[in-house]
Amino acid sequence: MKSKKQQLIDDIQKIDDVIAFLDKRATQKKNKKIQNNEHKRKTNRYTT
Amino acid sequence: MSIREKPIGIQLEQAPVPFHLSRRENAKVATEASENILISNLEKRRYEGILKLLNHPELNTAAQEGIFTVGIIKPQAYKGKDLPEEDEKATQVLYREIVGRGFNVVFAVSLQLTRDQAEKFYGEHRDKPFFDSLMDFTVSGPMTFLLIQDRSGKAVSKWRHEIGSTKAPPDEKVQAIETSHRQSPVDAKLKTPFPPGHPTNLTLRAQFRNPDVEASNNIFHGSDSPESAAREIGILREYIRDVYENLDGDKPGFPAEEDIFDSGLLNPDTDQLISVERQPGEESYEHVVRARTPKGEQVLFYPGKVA
Repeated sequence: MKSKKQQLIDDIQKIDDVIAFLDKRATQKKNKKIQNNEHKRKTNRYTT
Repeated sequence: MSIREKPIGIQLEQAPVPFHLSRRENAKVATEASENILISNLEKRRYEGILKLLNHPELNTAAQEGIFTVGIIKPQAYKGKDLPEEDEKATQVLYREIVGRGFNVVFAVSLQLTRDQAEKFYGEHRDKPFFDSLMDFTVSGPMTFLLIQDRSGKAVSKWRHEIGSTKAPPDEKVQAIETSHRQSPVDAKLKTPFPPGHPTNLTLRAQFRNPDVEASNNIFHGSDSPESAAREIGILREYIRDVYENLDGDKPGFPAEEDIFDSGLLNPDTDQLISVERQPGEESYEHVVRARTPKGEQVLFYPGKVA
């Protein structure tokens, strides 16, 4: 059985991992938005 | 003046150590004390992490996509079948069972709700006839909140499926499942929708239902939709913020007296700090600072930010 100290360290690690997961999701969304805007900008340039 | 008599400029704060302890015992006491400080710091760090996670701008969207849900082990869980008589131990058994069934529990926090908090949590049932008894039950002991993650986006449905119905399954069905498991564990394992190693394919509510105790029918709670999960995560954030603010030691963003003087808001030579109170907001806090100044008693505002 884990000690209380080890349990807390593991808990903190798990929470940090989920925060990292959310950070990654947010960054991916942001990048996708930039790409979409870039694509729109290029498409508009060629069509107008 | 000898070295021994030389006055010491800084007095270190030390816990009184009984004089009769041996050197080894003293060392043990000191180790235990530092271990306790370490654990208390780790607990604080854990709450900071939880708050940071619950304040994450992406969490709400992820919850609405079904990646997170809120599960609760309700008070009086010890009344369930084959559970230890102490509520805390019973909750630990249930927690291990949940993790054993393959759920990714990001964190578990045990909280004693006030009636106001409980009413807010179950606001959607306010008009129902059972509302008062639900409130009595909810505040009768600590509730263990679980944040459950499922990256495939089925956190709500998987958890709801796993806890099952509050209605008791027919006894013959329960017996049939238990008998088949006892007779042929391999077959039972193949039939079960749950991960290998799971002892039965009963739902959690069915597994821990005690036919003689009404309260045991509903030991678990699960958000009923991704939208509810997002709403409950928001409420959980408020609860945990309250708990964290009441932890010993520094509070998140709560300024020390020196911070307020260092910021230039008050003059250490002329002003005297009376009190600091927090004005909670969604993302940031403002602190109401009351001080006695040469102009009289003044109310000032000191900016702060959560975690």
